[in-house]
Amino acid sequence: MMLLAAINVHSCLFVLFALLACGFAIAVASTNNVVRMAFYLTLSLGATSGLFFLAGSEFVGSMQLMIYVGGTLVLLIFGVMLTAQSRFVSMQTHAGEWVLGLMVGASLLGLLVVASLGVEDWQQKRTDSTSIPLLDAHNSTATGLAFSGVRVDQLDQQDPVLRAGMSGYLLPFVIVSMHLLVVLIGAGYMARTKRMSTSRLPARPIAAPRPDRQRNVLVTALVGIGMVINLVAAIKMFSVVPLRPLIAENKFGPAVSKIWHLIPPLDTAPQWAFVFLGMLFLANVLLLVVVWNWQKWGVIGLVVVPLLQAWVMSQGGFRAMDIGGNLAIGLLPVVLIIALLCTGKRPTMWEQME
Amino acid sequence: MAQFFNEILNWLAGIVGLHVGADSWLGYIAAAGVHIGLLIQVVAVGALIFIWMERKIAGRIQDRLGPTRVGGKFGWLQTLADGVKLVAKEDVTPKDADRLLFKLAPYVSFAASFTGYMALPFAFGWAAQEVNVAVFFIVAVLGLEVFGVILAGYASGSKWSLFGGMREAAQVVSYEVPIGLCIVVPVLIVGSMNLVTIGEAQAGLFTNWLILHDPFTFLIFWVYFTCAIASVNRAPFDLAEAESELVAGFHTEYSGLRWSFFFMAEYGSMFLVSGLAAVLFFGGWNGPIPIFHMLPAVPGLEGGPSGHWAYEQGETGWRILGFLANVGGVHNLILKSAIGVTVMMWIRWTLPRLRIDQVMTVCLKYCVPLAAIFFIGAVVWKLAFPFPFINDIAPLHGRRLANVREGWVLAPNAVGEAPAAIPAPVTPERPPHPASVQDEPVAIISAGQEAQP
Repeated sequence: MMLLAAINVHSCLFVLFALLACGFAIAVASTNNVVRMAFYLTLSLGATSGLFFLAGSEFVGSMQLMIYVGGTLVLLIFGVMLTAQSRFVSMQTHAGEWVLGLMVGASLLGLLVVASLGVEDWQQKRTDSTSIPLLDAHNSTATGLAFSGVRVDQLDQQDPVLRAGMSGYLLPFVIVSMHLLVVLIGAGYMARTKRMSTSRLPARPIAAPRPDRQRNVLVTALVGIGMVINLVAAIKMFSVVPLRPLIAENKFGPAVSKIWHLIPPLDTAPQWAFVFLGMLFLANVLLLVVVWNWQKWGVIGLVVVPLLQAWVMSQGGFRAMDIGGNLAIGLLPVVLIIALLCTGKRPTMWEQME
Repeated sequence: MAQFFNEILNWLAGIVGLHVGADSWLGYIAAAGVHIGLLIQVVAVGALIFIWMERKIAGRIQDRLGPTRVGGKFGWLQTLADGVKLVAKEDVTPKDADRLLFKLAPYVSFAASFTGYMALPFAFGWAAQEVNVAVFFIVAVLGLEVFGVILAGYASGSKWSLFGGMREAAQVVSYEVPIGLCIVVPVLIVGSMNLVTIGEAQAGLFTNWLILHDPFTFLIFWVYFTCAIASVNRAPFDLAEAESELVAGFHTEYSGLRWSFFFMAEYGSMFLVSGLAAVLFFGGWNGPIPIFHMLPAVPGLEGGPSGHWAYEQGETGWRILGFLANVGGVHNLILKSAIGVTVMMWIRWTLPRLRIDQVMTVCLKYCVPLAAIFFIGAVVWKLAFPFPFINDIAPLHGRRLANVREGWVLAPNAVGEAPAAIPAPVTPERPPHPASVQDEPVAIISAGQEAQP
């Protein structure tokens, strides 16, 4: 019993979970049935999330369960069930594929081994093993805040130059989420049944303007609001350059200058950036008119303009937060308009556009 | 708890001249065994009672008596008789089935349903594992139960099962979206994903429960409950086992004990989502009136002359009266969850089953937009409206005074005088606001973070 008492529970569980993860990973590679592969992969990934829990990162562990086990694998099996021609799909692996797979796997393994053995801190044994599990257990708040643009873990950064670069992950986050949204809407649009485009129906005359084209009320409202907002934004951008010295002298009272200073780069950014931004906002107004007149290329332009604005802003030294916010504000209504154009009663507005 | 077991083992081993260290693995295994035993008891015995309850409720709703004979009055041993019947049944595997997956699927389903209980607190600090992100963990694990159903549907080698599994997959994956949106609202109001923190933030009078926090949380609870019924695959959303169309759906080919595992998983999940609703919206283990907070203030009930039976301020060890208060809390939580399960049964025997397109419409066209609107409403209410709602007018605001704890604690804290020995987790600096400055429960919780059963 004395011998048994010397065993470290933590290491035992680590070995157990690691063996489970590796064993089922080998089982994935050695079976032919796709659904069984998915099942073994579940167990392997579940054991990996067990390793995360063991390390005290409960958030990452839950994330692993949610995304990989609950999301990806369920969709995988779902896809197999929907598309399978025979009852139990089995995959035949050729020798060439084995060689290729082994090469890729071995090179990844080599990279990981070299990388993990190269870290200085991991080469010595930790002295106080009791304090390890809780080291990073409470950092999910910081991660979440970093995604919304605030790096609470870097608040004590002294160097102002470095601080400016630590405004969080808002911009990449917005780009990725916009990308996902567009992909999802596109997938939904492509996957739905297209009853209109069967060959039995005669092709509709091209470019014949039809008087009975119906505009969606929501699209009308969105386009109208968009024109007003873009016009106001353009006027504001053009007025920044002449007004800047006046505000610096505090001619309009403290309230106006307080609002002015909410966006710091308005003081510092170069004049050309504002001119460009104003022109781009004007271009947006024109593009909305184009969309209003049933032209498809207007929609494409509406997507390109916010991207151009983001580029101009990044060249003009704006904060990543402002760029991301502007990108989100610019792209979200466009995605909404596209969604509205593609849905609704047939023929949809998109189909009627030229 | 592990140390406690090791002390006992050390004492026992001392009789035969051996020694067990305070950190030995034996204690950990014993502690884990106790936790698992208690939780399995909740799922298994719970299923036993709920199946009997379901029969009785179904009977009453259909104007008949339900079981009346087995076990004397009320037929209360009916489920046990059913169980004996199920054990005696032959365990059949169809010829076309994928044998391994067919045999494993019920266990996958049951294990997923059971794992969620690990993070569900039954009273203050009484969780098998107090996970920092318990809400997220439970939602993640709830999504895994579908895996067992899909495997069962696929491996059975039967078209009915396959259709049932496919429906279940589509349904559960869709309903995870609105359910996530609903769960975010209490998390956002309390500012923590720890279920113990969320429950303790609602201590005090029942007006403190988050369902009465503002009109939008009241509305979003009903969205949550609808989606919860759908995500545990209960009528009117039980498309996966629609017996009028699919024989018995994904469990068509199952019989005997394996079949009953699916049912234990279903009742376990029902209880789990109801328990989650109880903690998130209905104050968890806090009763409608904080009896265990008021009793120690009564002269003569302080808990012994030297106070050794009740908790001191910020103390978390073992005290007999505090233990009793926690047992009361467990009863509160189980009662609330059982009410939730009963409502699910009531709905099942009242409403007809939806069609699959109607199920999807309810999710994507109603639940998701409603949840999104209520979510924004709750956020706007918290940030922009200083109007008082019910819980701001009623006495005993736990979130405002931070001094109500239903654990038989001596002499309640003065306002804001929480013990600061344990550092609170990192919280963002919020702009001061009339309605939100008081909503900071982290301080009260830090006192009891080590409280483990």
